[in-house]
Amino acid sequence: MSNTIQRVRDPVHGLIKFESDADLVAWNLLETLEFQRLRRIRQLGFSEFTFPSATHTRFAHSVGVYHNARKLMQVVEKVEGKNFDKDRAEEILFAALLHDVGHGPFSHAFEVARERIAASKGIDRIEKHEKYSAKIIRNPNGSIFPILERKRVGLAERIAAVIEADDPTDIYHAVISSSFDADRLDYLVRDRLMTGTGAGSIDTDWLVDNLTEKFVNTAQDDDPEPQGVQTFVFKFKGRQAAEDFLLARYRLYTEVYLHKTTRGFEALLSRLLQIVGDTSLPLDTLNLLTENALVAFLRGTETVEVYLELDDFVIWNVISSLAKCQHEEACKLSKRLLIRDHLHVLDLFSKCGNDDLALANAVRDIENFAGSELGVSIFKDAPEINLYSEQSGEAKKLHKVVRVQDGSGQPREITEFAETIISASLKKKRRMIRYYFLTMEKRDEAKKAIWG
Amino acid sequence: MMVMESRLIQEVFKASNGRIVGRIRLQKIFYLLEQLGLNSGLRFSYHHYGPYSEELAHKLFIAEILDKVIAENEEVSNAGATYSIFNLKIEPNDPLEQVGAIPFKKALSAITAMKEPTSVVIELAATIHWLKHKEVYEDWKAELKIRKPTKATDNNIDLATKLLGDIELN
Repeated sequence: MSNTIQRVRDPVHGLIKFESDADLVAWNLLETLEFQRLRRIRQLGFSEFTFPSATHTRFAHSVGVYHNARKLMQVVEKVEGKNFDKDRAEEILFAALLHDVGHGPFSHAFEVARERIAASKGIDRIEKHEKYSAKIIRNPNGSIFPILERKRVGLAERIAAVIEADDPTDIYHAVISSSFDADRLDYLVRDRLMTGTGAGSIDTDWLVDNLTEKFVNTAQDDDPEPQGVQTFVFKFKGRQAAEDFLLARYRLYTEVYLHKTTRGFEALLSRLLQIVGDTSLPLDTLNLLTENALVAFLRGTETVEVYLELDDFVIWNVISSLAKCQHEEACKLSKRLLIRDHLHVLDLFSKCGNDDLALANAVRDIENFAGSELGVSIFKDAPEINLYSEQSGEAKKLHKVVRVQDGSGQPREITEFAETIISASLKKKRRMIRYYFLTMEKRDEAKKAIWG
Repeated sequence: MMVMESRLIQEVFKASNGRIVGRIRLQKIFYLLEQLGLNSGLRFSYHHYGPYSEELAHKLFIAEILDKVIAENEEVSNAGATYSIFNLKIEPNDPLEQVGAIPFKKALSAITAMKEPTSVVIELAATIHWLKHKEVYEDWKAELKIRKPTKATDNNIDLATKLLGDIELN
């Protein structure tokens, strides 16, 4: 347990110092077994197959989020003045550090596979990574819980509740849950740097310096009564930097996170994980052992203890074993991952653009063509995207809207300014529908089935 | 288990008197109907506004764009929010005795009740059902207050549990 000042060098934030009382608690959290696991989970999973330097970890990201949360909390302290609640601020800082502690390896592919395995077994739902973060924090037998409880009794529960909340409750909470929060302010800058993409630009210092808080009234669907949300808004001088930030975020989603090649490898891994989780397949045909944590977890032992054994190394170890197994499909797919042999994509998003009728027709034709092969040897990927980069759900999250003060100080959505360069049409969700095929020939047959 | 197609969407809309207001309400109506025995085959998972089905969103897209049985229009509420209104354009061409596997009268009565409260209340009702029956929380109220700290007021919880009682899902 460390009580001395600690320092971390970081390519995004420079020197990050841990020196206050809260920082030293954070450092102790960072040294736990649970948190160290994040060193073995890459932030962007298969993105390194498309952007070779994108090998940074959730560990580095989480430290960056903590650093950003401290900066944003200074904004809160400034606007709250003598009402600033130091205990509440600490809760949020620790929640910022721990927000990803429950992330699984290859997050998207892993959760897609688990959903499909659960569906095949008639199980209604899976527990997602946010739930595992909360469970790990609440675990009285773990290393994180006692550190937090020593700091303040009940602190672990309060932090877990912050992570589980769907909506932020106050301006402190907005530090980690708003349109401009500590999480996205780290991952966008870090991912942009590590992938080497030049998409957009993010002027962090100027953006933070132009933040203030406002109580914003907003309603969901046709509800007559608005709900109040205390959140960050940009001052007028920050408007153009906020536009750049939004555009950078949008570009990163379309060009990096949802890159067609990366998503194809995720589809491939997801299929492999479903095979591993298929209890009708004897493990010896898969060249795997019962004791393997991934095998145990996917075949039903969904405990926190087993979950904490999962990391990228465990996944790659299983892939190596599968590449030498008797199960023909698992063997072939694993080898493809090992030599980066990508699937063949039919990208309806680029082919049909915003023509919804052409898109819907193509979807129906492909799915008729695929029949029972869909999900087995033909894989569908259909993430949704809009200006605020939400990938799923029925409506925009009210606290995620970017607002800027106008000349009179009133907060307005960034798209409402007459001189904005951001098109309001980007608020509409678009479906990036793609189908992946094992061979180019099969992909071309599908093309013929749609377009002749 | 039947395959969810535009026909079932038509049936649900027919029992909604041809109109459902709001994406949140639409998703929660389908979720709660599924619990009443709709037998759509839809899979729901927990999202920001409670149980949500990607598959349903996709089927609606097909029903609207390709089969043209549903039309979606956007309006702005008095509170300033943009929201969607879904209208049935083509009715099923035979009289309905069932909505999916639910007797028509029962579906009509349940949907009528689900169209009454605010979208926040129906979101809470679906989430309460999810927490009690899918995540199996004994103290679902405590968990609801953690997940939805600003929405789960005592009054809203009362309204949501009353709605579940009214549609016989308590």
